[in-house]
Amino acid sequence: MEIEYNAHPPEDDTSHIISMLLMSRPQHQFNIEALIREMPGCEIPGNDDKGRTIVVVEAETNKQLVQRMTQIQDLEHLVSSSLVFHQIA
Amino acid sequence: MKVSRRDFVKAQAASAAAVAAGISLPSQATNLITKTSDTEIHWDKAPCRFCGTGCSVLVGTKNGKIVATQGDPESPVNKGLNCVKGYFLSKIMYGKDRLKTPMLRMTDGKFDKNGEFAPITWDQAFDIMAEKWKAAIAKTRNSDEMPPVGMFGSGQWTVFEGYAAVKLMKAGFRTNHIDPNARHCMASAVGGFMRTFGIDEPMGCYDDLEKADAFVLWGSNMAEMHPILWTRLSDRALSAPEVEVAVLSTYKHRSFELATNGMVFTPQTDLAIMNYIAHYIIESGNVNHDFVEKHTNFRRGTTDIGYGLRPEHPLEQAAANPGKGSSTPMTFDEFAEFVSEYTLEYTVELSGVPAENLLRLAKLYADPKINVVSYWTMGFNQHTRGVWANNMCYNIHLLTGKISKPGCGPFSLTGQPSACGTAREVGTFSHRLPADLLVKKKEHRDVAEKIWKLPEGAVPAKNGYHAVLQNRMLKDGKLNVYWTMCNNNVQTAANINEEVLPGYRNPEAFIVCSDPYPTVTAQASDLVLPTAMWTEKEGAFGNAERRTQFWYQQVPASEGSKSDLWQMVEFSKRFKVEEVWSDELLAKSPQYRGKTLYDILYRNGQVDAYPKSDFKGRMNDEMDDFGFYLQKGLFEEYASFGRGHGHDLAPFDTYHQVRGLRWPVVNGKETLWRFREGSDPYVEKGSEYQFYGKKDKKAIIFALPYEPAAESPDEEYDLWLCTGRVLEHWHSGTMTRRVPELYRAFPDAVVFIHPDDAKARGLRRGDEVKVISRRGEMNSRIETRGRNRVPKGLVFIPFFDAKQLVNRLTLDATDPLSKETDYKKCAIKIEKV
Repeated sequence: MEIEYNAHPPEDDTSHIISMLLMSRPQHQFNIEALIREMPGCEIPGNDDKGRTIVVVEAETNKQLVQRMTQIQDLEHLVSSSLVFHQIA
Repeated sequence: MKVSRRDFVKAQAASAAAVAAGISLPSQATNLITKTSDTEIHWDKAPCRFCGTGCSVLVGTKNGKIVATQGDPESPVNKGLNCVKGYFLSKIMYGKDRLKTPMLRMTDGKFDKNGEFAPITWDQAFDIMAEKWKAAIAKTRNSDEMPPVGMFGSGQWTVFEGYAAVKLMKAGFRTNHIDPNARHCMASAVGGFMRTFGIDEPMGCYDDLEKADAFVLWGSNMAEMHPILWTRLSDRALSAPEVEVAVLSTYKHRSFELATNGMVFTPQTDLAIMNYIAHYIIESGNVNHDFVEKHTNFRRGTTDIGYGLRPEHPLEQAAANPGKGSSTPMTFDEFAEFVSEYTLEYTVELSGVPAENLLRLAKLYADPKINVVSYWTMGFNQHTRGVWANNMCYNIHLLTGKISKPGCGPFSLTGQPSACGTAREVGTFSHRLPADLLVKKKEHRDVAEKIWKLPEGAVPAKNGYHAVLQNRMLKDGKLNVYWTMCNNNVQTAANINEEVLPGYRNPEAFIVCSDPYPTVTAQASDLVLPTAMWTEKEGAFGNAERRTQFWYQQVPASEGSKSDLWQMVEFSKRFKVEEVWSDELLAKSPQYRGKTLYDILYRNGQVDAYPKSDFKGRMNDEMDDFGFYLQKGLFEEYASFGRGHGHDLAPFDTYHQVRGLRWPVVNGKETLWRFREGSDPYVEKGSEYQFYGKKDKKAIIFALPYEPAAESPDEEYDLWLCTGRVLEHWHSGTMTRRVPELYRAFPDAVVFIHPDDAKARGLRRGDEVKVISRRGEMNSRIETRGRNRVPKGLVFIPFFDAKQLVNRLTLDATDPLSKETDYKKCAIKIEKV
């Protein structure tokens, strides 16, 4: 009776589209958005001037999706990130 | 206009986020969402399986499997949002190592404590269990002692499961040795509520998040542990830049990013900081005297109460009043004098927090114009003075009357989805019965025995073994059969080397573990039962704001698995009452002779009162097996404990239709703020406030001092160890580590350490180290960057990793009043490997 966390790698042949709602203090928002725009597969379809930013992320594989989400969530000065939508294309 | 499928999905994704955020997008994008026609998927609601926030998710099923989840836009809790864990909920049930059959340790086809696990049938599993149970019960059946039969349950049990368990143990086997893992989680909060208010659970609700002018996080790292509440808090702070966010912790974490006043304090000195604030409120003339005179009493608590260790431990021997929770009346002036010792200078020295930060914090509470909410979780609760810490936070809110009002009040957050609903409200603790009733009180036992149609004296009058004591009693041979359900205590209990493992592996003990997956606990047990989880069964959870939420079974149970509820109710059929109850008790109830515990507990005309035709869902395995709507019967019988007594729940069917309701639900109306006239139906007209948990309807302000931690760093063990969680993993990771995305995002635990502490030990980021305490050691790697920035002298290690058992290091010191372990403070040293 072994514990097997690694016995089930995700199916990597699927592509994904997700949206996230990010929040940051307004003084950091511009920088955070600039960094996200540079990330491949990431778009910012909307924001406001109070620190809220919407990001849509496309990824070709599951691994890429996790990498991009982690990269966004680890951005310095990011206050909060929530996930809203996920479709496996 | 032609849009590609990809563009369509992207627009849908953007639109969903915009709706959740209240941001408007170009009309083209928002219109597209209405064209969704993915209708092969069946959608139904369920509360999230993880933390105590109680987010609602829409669960999409297809061909008997969950294929998608999304935040429920109709939920007043999460308003369509999800955190990263909730987002991957659809995958928690599909780990490749799901258990498919009961497994027993055997040699040559027979049970052997030192044998290897081998598959058996459910029938065989219950055979060996019944044999062991009956042998244990026979030892005490005709005596005053409770049998050496124990159960370790969960704040992740459904309400129905918790209730069925309490009945099976306290009324069936007649033992109070049942406790939930919530003991490790919020027993101190319970203790605090009962001591100050005489009734459990927060007075306020999440609506405070949009109404407060200031938030104070005492230890809580909401950004990672309660991300959706944090999003709501952040939204409020960003919308109104004057909103103050004070964050206190023993290290810097993600929540500091929003803080207007971030404070890192020396472990244990939160007690001193709260007394300083009380002192400041008094000294600055900001006591709400009208409120204090009408609605509070002052009491001096007994001090030097020990550390909840074994009685022979030197720290217990040295304590003047080990385990004492008594107090004596005092006046306001005496209280003022008591806290006057906690001057700004003294508190700065003790806590290490700069004076300007402490002053700024104290002013938030003192200023009568500022609505302030205090939040806390394990920082206060997993604390050897946890009940005191809770009491002291209430002191501050009571002195100023900042309580039970919109945007104003103390709020204890919970870590498990039904810590409130199941562990607390149902009363699965070793000292409790449903609706805050206590086993020690005759009139309370009378209530339970009457509702349960049992003879007088059926429920034992003594407190049972609490969680930490259960491990000690297993080790000492005083608890012989033990069923652990819906938790992973060998990974999560403190001091596993000295107490837990020796208990589980004691030849005198027979340990049964029910779990969907193999866990560290399953591996240390003797019999393992495969368990149906979350939407594989019908359920109910109660979240941190008193919101009760229901869900239907939405997919068939995984191969070979049965729900905890089925397991307990089915097992009860194995016992004739003559084998369990004393002759004396049976003489009082001759009508029960020849019956089974199943007949007496679950076929009592109440639990089996609702026919299958009452069921409106798609599937219900327990109903099919037992022939009646078991969940409804259990709930309605349980609800009769609290209706009319301040714990009113709505009718069963209502909860399947709504996104939860906050109790007390009186005349169909939920209660948002308790204890205040106009918002709580139990408060009488003209009284303004009534803390009706106490006989005189007054809350208590307690004079309690700062006392040091059980173990602090010294020359040899020179670092504080604090343990806790990370965003990606929930508790011991049995679910989240089986989600490939979450596993990859944070695969292994690390030791967060200050760069200077690393350098002083000749260590660089990523180096392998040995972490050693007086009780054990573990290997890990150090992290000097990342999301947690610890101060010099302290390390933080998460506890999710089964390969790095941090509880080999921790000390099983508990709050002597709540019996909850302090997982946040012990002393360790670190060596290079």
